[in-house]
Amino acid sequence: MNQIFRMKRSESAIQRIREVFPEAVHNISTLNGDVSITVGKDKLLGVVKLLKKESDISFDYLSDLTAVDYLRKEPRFEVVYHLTSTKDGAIIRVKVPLTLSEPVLPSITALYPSSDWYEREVYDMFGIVFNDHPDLRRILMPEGWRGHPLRKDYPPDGEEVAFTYNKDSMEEQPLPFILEGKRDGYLEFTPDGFTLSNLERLGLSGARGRIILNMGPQHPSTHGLLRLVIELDGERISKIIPEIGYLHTGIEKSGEYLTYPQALTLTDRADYLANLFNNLAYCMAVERLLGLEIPLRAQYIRVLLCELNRLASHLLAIGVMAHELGATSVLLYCFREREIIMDIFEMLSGVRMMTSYITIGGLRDELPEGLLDKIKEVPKIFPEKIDEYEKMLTKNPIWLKRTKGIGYISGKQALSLGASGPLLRGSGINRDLRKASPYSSYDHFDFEVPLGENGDVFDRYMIRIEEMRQSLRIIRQVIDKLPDGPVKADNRKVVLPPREELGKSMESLIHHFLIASGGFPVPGGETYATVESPRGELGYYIVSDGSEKPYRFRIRGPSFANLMSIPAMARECYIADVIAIIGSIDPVLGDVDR
Amino acid sequence: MFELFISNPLVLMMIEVLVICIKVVVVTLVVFSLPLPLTYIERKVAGHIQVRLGPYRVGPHGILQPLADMIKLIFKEDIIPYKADPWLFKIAPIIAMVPAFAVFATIPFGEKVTIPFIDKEVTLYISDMDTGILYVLAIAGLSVYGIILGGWASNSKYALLGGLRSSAQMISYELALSFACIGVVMVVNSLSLVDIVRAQSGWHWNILYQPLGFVIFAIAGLAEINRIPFDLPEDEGTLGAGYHAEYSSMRFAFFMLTEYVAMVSMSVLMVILFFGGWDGPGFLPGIVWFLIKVAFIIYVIIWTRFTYPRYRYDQLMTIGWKILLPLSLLNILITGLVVI
Repeated sequence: MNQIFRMKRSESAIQRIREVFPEAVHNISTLNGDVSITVGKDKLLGVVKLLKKESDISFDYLSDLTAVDYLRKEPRFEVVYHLTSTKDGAIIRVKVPLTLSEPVLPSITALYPSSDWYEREVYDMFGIVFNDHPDLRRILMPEGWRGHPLRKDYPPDGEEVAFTYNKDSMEEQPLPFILEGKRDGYLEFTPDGFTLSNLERLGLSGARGRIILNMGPQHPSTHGLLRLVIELDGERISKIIPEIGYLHTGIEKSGEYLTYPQALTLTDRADYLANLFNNLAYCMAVERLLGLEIPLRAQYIRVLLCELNRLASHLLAIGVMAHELGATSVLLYCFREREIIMDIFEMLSGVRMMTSYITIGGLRDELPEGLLDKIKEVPKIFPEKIDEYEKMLTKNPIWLKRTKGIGYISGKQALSLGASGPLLRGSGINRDLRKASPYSSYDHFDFEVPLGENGDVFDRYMIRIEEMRQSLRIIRQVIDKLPDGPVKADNRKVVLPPREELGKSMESLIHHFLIASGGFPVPGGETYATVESPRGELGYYIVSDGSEKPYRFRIRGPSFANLMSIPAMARECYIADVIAIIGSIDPVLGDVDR
Repeated sequence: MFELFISNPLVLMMIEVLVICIKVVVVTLVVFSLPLPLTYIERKVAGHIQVRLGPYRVGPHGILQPLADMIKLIFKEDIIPYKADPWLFKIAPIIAMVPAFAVFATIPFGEKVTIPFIDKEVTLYISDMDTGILYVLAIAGLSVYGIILGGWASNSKYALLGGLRSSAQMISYELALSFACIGVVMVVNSLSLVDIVRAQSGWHWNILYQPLGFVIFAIAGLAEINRIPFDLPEDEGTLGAGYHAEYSSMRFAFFMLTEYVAMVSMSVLMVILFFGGWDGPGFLPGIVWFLIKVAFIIYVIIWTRFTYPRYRYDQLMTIGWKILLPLSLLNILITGLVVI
């Protein structure tokens, strides 16, 4: 019902575009519940502006910006924009075809400041140039890297790195990853892009009395391999530049070379603290392409597991943030409770973190015996423990001093910088995808979306505390309402047959063998599925060409966009506040760099 | 014959010198080895506060862990960073460590005891200076030079920031700390630590007469010894390890040693100034009471560390200059009025 309404909204938006730009729209499709339009590159700015500014359309949030390389087609590239309305969750996909000879587009950073890093990523990965971009540098690959990894003619492996022993031979031979006939030299790698010569270009004055401090990538409080280049005036920050890419593992590239069931295991490794959300978003995307209907029991258990995962993730977020601000004990208390959830996951799947338990078509298996009783304990144990953390932190004057009024960001600014999750809700904007565009039967459960008022570190911390309480509420309801029935969709072409059938039925054996060895073809098309992960909007944009492997395997990580708000939040604050701010964003670098 | 021998003035003087020498050696050895049990206790207390066990592998209940740590630290490679100032880098830990030990020269652990056989009275302090408390405050304040120099000589920005924070912090809190002591001095009418303790005997502990002074002393003392919530010079969260970020091996151990010794001397000072030193019910000897009190204060300091987050640099400065300093002056004023 809601879905149809949202599609109508998007369609009316297209009507409006047609009126204003009769020539602009080449192609409209409403496949798989997504509304997508294709516009020429000269009309892009006008269309996007209309979509954002027109009051009754108002797609005010840039969910994702990426590109697809259709190698043997002409035009070769397609840049894909996903625009969302925060009012009702309507979503529209704008695609712009580009040729290899002229891969140039106007930048939309003036309309959506959050497109900054996305455009840099597309430039880095596909070599598409965005005119008028404020700072078009590589973002994930190191500066000086040759080639654009996500192009289809870029090999997934085989790059050789120059060491002293092979430096000379590498200079003679052309390297597989150097494209477009360039063969002049080995990989030029400058680990430090912030040499004195380019300080000015990056806005670091390097003036007398200023210290340029390199925080990270190896630093105890940057939650992984995040690097912040900070210009300090005493203890105050005058400029801060986040640098990412140190944990870039090429998950998106790898995904294109694996079958759909195999690629599932990669999703666990993107946001490793919210692995089930990654599973879920990916499976939802593939299921939408396949047109699979998921049994209610499986949907409920998915909700149950995701909420447990959210608890675990928030526990870590709060614990680590407290630890970095000096309250070491809270971290250990949080770990104590997180261990309960980890035990549940271990019982569920045999592993603690990379469960891959949510699979295409439902769940890997029925819940093991006795697990539900163990999960029932969680809502009994946790409320008291959450009060305990509050006693240690919320009522602690030093904690309040360190968090209240620190890292302020207004709701409007957070939205324009692409923030989502607790970061956005901390600034008072009510956008929770579980409510805005319910998936996996989230609309069957009562829960509230906690909102902040001041948009500071404290509000974001409080939102996590409250969200944990709401998660417990959902878990209770799921346990009460959990229906009987299968946990896998009834489609043998996609879902593995039950173990006991393998000994009896030849057909089952064949299906099992086919799915496990070669995967299954997925009808051609594209879709963008989103879930509300503990960090915000987690989206999977899957393009299928009808084969067994995803043609494009795009992960829209919430942490990636959330990190863009650091400079806005850290303006005029102290260096110690940066730690609090990072803690309140709770980035997972696996999610940022993928 | 024997009596004649020990009544000889030359021999008497030699015994006197010998006793002082022995006392110096004993105190130094005890203070030097104190960090061993203290690290163990701190880690054990931390473990139990944080629902863990703490060290458990080396020896029964991990009791030999500090020894293992010490051996490890001794055998670690001593790294001097490229482009560091090698001379200052090497000397800084020593500059930090020496004053921490020198403080104990004037600290009294108890009243006189009589040594059997030679029937000689021996005081349980190395020297009773007339200006004891001034000496302690002056010497303890020197330690910060080691931290500043260490931070500066490392040629690392994190270490430098740690050193800078330390210098600012020490200056601001030393004032409040000294003013809090002045309150006690006014009540007791003496600068000698021994006299201060004697004046409190019979439950006339200064904490009853100087409650505000005690609070100021406790807070400023925590800041002075770089403990949470005031451990900004080393602030792992922000600065990695702060001023000793670049130190390794024994030089790092010296800084750690300094910190633990400073924690002990601060606790000792607090006991002497506010808790009546070795004063206590007669069923235990004075020195035992003294040690119990010191141990309790050390425990409280550790407990605080694992309970509170740390302040931010500017907040620390605000507390020091805008709250503690005026309060300590007020304390002196009130004390002055009452004493007169």
